[in-house]
Amino acid sequence: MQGSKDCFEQIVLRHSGSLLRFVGSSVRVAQDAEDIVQDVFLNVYANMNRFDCEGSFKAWLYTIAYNCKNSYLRKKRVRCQPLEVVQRAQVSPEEILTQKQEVASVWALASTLSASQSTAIWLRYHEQMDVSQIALVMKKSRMHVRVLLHRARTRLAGMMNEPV
Amino acid sequence: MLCWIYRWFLACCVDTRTGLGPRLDRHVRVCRACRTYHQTHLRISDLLETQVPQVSIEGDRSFQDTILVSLPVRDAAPVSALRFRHRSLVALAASVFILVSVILTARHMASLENAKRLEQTSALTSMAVLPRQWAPSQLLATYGSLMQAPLETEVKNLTTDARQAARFLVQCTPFARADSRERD
Repeated sequence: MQGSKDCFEQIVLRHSGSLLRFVGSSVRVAQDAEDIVQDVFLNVYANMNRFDCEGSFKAWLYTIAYNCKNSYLRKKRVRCQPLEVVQRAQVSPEEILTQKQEVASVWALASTLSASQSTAIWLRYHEQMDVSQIALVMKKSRMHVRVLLHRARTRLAGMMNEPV
Repeated sequence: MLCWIYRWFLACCVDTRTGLGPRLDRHVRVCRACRTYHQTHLRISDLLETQVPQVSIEGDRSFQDTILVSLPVRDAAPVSALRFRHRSLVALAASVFILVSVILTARHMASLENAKRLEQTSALTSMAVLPRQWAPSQLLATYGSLMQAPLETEVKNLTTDARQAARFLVQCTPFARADSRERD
């Protein structure tokens, strides 16, 4: 990685799609997700010298994406709080399940989990990260990540009427 | 009773996709609830891994071009060069610090040595200048007189002690001493 634009282009080509999906799993507006990902890459480009070469680049990239996504969601929550509260009060996970029964997948249910649980699930099963990498991205202890994964799976099993 | 502990370890095994150890395996075979728990978590894990999430937005070439166009004109500095410069600066700073501390310590040690030497010299000079009564000739004379008349000196000392004791007793009495002129 030379830090030049040519090399950076390779990074963008390799990771932009997965980052878009990662951000898009929480941010439902496509334009906003694209803005966030663009912001992520700008941050990566500007702070490339801060990257610890001995660590995982993917984990570092997703840490920045996770922070950008969270700051976006925080701003959005402040601006649109009443609307979100109404939406959450009206639509429960069970209702979502019945509405989208024919297209319901376990990932659709996973999107109804809490933000940290769904992020942990996403990073573990979609990005194939191990627990220590997820802990690095989410700035949590490994034990906390294990608890998040465990609770998320238990809740998913409950939603799918699986015996636990 | 200890199923919750076994379940925690079972969840860890599901997370890391490692096989159960002999102890866990034995428990899972015996305990039906834990077996169901393990199978459910494995099934959920399998579903999460196999089912591709349906997200509408996809990264395309135009979006990637947009990102690349939006980058600042200045090229980011090469990582390796920056890191090397950073490390060499740290090494340089550390060596300068060590050098300065060595010089300062050497100076301090030298000043301590000087101070000690000065102290020793002054002590020697003070020993050379003895009080007058300690002069060897004087000491010899005193010693000689003491040896010649030991009882005389002893009597003289006893007289002095008795006089001082009497003076002390008089001072301790509550009444004042009569003035000799009034008595006359």
